[in-house]
Amino acid sequence: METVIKTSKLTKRYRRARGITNLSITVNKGDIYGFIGSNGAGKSTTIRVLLGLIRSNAGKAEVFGFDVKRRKRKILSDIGYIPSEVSYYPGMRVSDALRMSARLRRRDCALEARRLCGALSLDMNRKIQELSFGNKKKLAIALALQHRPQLLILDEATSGLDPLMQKTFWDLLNERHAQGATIFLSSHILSEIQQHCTRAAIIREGELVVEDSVETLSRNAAKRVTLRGCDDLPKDFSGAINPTRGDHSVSFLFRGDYKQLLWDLQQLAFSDLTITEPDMEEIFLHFYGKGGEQE
Amino acid sequence: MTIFRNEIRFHWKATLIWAISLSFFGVLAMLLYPQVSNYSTVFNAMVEHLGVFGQMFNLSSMDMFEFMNYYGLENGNFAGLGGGVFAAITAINIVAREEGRHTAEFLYPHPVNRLSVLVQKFFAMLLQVIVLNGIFMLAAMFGAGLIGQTFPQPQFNDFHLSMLLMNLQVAVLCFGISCMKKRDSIVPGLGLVLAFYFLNLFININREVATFKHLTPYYYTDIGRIGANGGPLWEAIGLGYIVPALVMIAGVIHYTRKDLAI
Repeated sequence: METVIKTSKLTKRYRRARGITNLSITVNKGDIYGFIGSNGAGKSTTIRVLLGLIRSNAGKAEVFGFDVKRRKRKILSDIGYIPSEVSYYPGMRVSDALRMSARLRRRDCALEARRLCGALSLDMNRKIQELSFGNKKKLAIALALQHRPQLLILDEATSGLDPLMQKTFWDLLNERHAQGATIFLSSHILSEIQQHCTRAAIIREGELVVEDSVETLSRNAAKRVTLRGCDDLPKDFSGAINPTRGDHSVSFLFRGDYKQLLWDLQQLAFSDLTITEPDMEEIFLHFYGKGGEQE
Repeated sequence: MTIFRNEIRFHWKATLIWAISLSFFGVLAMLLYPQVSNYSTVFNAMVEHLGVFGQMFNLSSMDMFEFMNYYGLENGNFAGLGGGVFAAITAINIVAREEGRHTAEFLYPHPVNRLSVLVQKFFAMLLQVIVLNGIFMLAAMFGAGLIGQTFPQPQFNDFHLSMLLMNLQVAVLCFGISCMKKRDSIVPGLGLVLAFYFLNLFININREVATFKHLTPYYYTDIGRIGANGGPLWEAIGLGYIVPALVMIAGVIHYTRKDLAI
């Protein structure tokens, strides 16, 4: 399978901050890849290294098979990027920014720019400084898509967009994905990752925790076990992570030997039992939570 | 060319406002010349008693009521200072504001070479400084016509060439500093221009500190010195450009390699 992004032991240290350490991830062509981490985990640092905005201290980063330090211009000509916070030149209109971006890429994107602005309900004649945060974000989306890049790098792209616009945004992304584009999405909105991504990586304190398909991550991480008609778990109950007591019920994440779980449950008195797939939020907390099994 | 065009597009108004403002005051000062020259004997007597203040502006070394000297003195002071400030504030942020205002995150994910960005910004800066000086020069000729005077050649061209080179020296130095800055603040640029200006006044008062003359570009824009030299002070100009050129080269090397602060 063709690899679009590949990092090997990528390390970036700042003077005072941590950055990323030995980060190795692989994004294949056609992936919608979720890059999950809390604020300061190293998501934006990774993206900035990939875009050549900052230089890594060690390790290697390749995009489209090219080293990001050596073939930056070649790589960037086929990338669309949406930053988490967008800043534009003062005094520009929406159309000016789109035209400037197209000129910097030496491409004529006028038709596609108009189509995107129409889809996003963005007035091309408005001055950017008069736009709301959400509309500035829409402009960033149009800027990232208008040249039809092979790779889209999105850093917290949907923040600031209302649910309706988020849907339009994802419709546009899915359309591009269907046309063969690869999407690298950094986010801490886990439902978004779970809903849209095929593969995902979790990064914590600059280090990769896990990288796998979203399906496998959801399956392997843990199960959510809820017992009703039961007030507490015995102290010797094994494998229960973060049990929470509710109204005559107990709920916990379980990862371990399921035969042992069934045996242990037989020793308890309860009226109802549910075992469900945890959502990404729970997976995220499972890998991130203090005292969690993966710690 | 896109970045060059972008710079010019968003700064031509400011350049024009500066040029018109400085030209207005330049013409205004020239319109006073006929009245001032009528009292030349009184003023010359005053200058003799000005002492340190006369030295400060090099008044004792020339006849300030000769039209070219009067023009060079008046405009050398406020247009020299104004032009220097314009050059400084134009150059000191031209690179740094990309990071300071976070537009670097808009610009640099495009397939652009940092060196090419700097070259385009440098030429945009040069053009702005040249336009300001050009407009001022044309306004001066217009003002001279209004009072029935003509500028002696080549003194007029020598003086304006020196003024342009002074502005460019400030701009080159500030451009180099801008490449190393992360915040868009005009304070370092303003501080440098004022320091250069007052250093020249200090050198005029105290000749013992003349060893510092190559630190300030205002030294070679002094109309008295240009007149005495019979043309631009090329040695001072050449030596004056050494430090700014080195700072700019260091700045460019630093900028093309550094991590962008976003």
